[in-house]
Amino acid sequence: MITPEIVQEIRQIVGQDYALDSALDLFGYSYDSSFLALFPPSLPELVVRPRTTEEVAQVMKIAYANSIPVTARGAASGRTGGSVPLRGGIVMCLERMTSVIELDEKNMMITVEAGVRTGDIYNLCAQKGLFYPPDPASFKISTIGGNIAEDAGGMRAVKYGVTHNFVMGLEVVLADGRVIKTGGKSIKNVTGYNLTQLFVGSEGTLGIVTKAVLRLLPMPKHRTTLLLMFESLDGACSTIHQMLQAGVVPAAAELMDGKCLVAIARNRPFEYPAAAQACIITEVDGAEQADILKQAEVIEKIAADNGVLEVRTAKSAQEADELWGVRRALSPAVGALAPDRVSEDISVPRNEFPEIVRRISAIAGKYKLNFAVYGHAGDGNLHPSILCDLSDPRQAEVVHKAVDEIFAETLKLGGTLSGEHGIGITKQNYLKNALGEDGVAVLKAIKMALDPKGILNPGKVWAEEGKIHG
Amino acid sequence: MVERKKELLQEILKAAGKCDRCGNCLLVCPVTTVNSKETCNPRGMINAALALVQGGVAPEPQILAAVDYCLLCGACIDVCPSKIKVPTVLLKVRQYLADLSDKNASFSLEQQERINSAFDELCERCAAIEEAENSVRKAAYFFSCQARLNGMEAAAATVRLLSKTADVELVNNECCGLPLLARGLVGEYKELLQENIKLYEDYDIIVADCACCADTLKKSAEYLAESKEWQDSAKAFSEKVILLSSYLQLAGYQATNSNVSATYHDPCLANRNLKIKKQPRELLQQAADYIEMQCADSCCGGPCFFPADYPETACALLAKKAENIEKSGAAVVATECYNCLRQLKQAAEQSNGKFKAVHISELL
Repeated sequence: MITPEIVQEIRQIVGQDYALDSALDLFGYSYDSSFLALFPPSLPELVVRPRTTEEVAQVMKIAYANSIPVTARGAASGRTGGSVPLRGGIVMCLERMTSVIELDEKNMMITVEAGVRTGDIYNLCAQKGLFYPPDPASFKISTIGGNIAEDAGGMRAVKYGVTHNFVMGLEVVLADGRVIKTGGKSIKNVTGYNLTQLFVGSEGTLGIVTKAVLRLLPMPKHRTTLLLMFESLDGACSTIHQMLQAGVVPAAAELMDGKCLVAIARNRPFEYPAAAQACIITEVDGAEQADILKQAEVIEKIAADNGVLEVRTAKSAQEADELWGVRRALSPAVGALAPDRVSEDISVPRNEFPEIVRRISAIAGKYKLNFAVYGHAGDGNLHPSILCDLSDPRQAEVVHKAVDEIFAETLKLGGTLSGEHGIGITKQNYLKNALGEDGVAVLKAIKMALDPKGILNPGKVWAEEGKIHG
Repeated sequence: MVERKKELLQEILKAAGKCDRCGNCLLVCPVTTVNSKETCNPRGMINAALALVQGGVAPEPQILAAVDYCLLCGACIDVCPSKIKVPTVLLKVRQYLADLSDKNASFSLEQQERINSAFDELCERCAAIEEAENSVRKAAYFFSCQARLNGMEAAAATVRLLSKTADVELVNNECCGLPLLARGLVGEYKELLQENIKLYEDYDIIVADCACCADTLKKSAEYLAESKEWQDSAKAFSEKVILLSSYLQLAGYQATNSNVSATYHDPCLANRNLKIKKQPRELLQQAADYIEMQCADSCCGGPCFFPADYPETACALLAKKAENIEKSGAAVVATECYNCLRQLKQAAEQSNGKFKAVHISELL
């Protein structure tokens, strides 16, 4: 599909070193951090690593003219196969687009290229007393472009919301190479359809985001982090539930079950009470020291009524960082517990969090499957992980049944099957259940309007007729 | 031989298979800062190793080229949630593909001559050193190849230093073998190791003042673990080896202050593998006005063949190191590795007198 002449044309646009086609290079860009099998690899035909929007646009013009599929990629830390090229073609890796265009302190907004790492955005803003809240677990590695494509969430969503709540404007390269700017710095801005929010979460299927304007908040003056160990998962869930009802909205409230504690302890020194079956790590922030002390008090009292075994409070920013380091290392540590891990990203209305955890427990018991649960208890989004060995035929068969049932229960409780990881490849099966046929038809109509040739990240989000991946 | 190779692939699969592709390693890998494509970072290299095991994904020379570009510094292990020992896995890949390599695995003839004649020179330099009174112990010195090539002053300083705490024995040892391991030549490495084991049979303490040598020697027993003939002596040998700063602390050595402002560069293998970070700093705090520099533990680009194989990358990493040394304001940068020292001396020359580079033994 991509002729040597086209490769040469593209090399002239981005530079000899930035269009890769050796077998090993192609393999390096065929995977992301999802549980899709590495082999047989889903290879691109060419990897392009542009430095500017102009280069992206020129490459897209060529791709469009020749109907070459293009899959955008950041740091490939995604969990659902979003940056895995399904139809060969070009992987457009935006990691080199790392310019910070402007930090506008007066308006509290920052304009960045898509390849800037979210963690770097946070640090840059923090230095000026400004706060970019969305913090997906991968934020030190993932790029803002990837976060925008997947509408990434993170631990602070319970209080602050997710990526889309902070995107004010975008620069997008369309399928045919035209470049548009959406939104802008104005707080109030209704100019045609809300294109900015259309592209956020579109998983690279409607356009390639090359720049973003993000709004910021003033950095909270005080924050404290608590780690609470519980004798039961129910007790932990109820604590979060009651905490919110008491009017304490934490900046983050993360839940981990006993399996997760085991996983963490394998890779770092981590002590916890032997009877602990669940752990919450929560952060409260506020403008006054007295404020946060009060919130911490309320949390501790509620926890005491719910079987808390131990409370640790971070005494310094470094300690807080260490406590959060535990949570951030969790996902890969859990993954290492079994040969295979099927992990989901379900989201239920906040009050149903304890109930969905109970139902997942029952489903795992029914199929005799080992599983771990962790998640953003404060906002109802959790990641049940089925720890299994898919080379065992019994497990391979029942794992899919278990996932089906978990999804069914989630939808019954009014929830959704993709809180923050996107649909990508891994959840296409379930899209129709969630949106209904008419809903999916609307998605397709929008796609047809913006990408009539279907070259942008084909095969993602909804299953093509007759083809289901993953 | 064929059976041995299959085993190696299984070992690679077991270790590399834990990779979750989370990307944490991309943040700390020094090589990635110079060359940012996927096969130049630990995640890419580990998955290249998996491609090797799988077969049919990429030609073996490409895989070898990818894993050869690793500094073996281990910075990635610090941040890997699964704690994959990346350098160990990649060395196994190099071993599996060693017959494909066209890179040289030994020093040039000129260098070999120098290495051979250096021992006599060291003996001469140290002839005048008085033995410590009432010496409690005997310690044998391990004379690093890199010290023989461009660290004679430092080696002599080490011997002088050691003489204050023990009866020092000079042994004309063979190379520690790291260059061979770096090229995947495990068979030849084992022969060298056996020579060294014999040479040091009669000594209970072996002090190495080079982090590369010390780490390699201390890990050497695993290579002979399956040989009934050598497993015991190899184990005993590896346990006798100790890095200089660690030895000096255990021996209760106290340095006198020379009022020089000094900073310390952590050799990767001392800091990460041997976990020796505090000892050199505590000694320097006694001996000098100690200043901690930024990123003291980031790789200088120096191990074994790396600067010769990848001069641009080594220079880029050294330049960053030089920047941090200058920023610290220290007049002198000290280290405990002769590969590092070679690099740092080069940086010192290029700094036009802004700082000097020495081995820690020259300050104590």
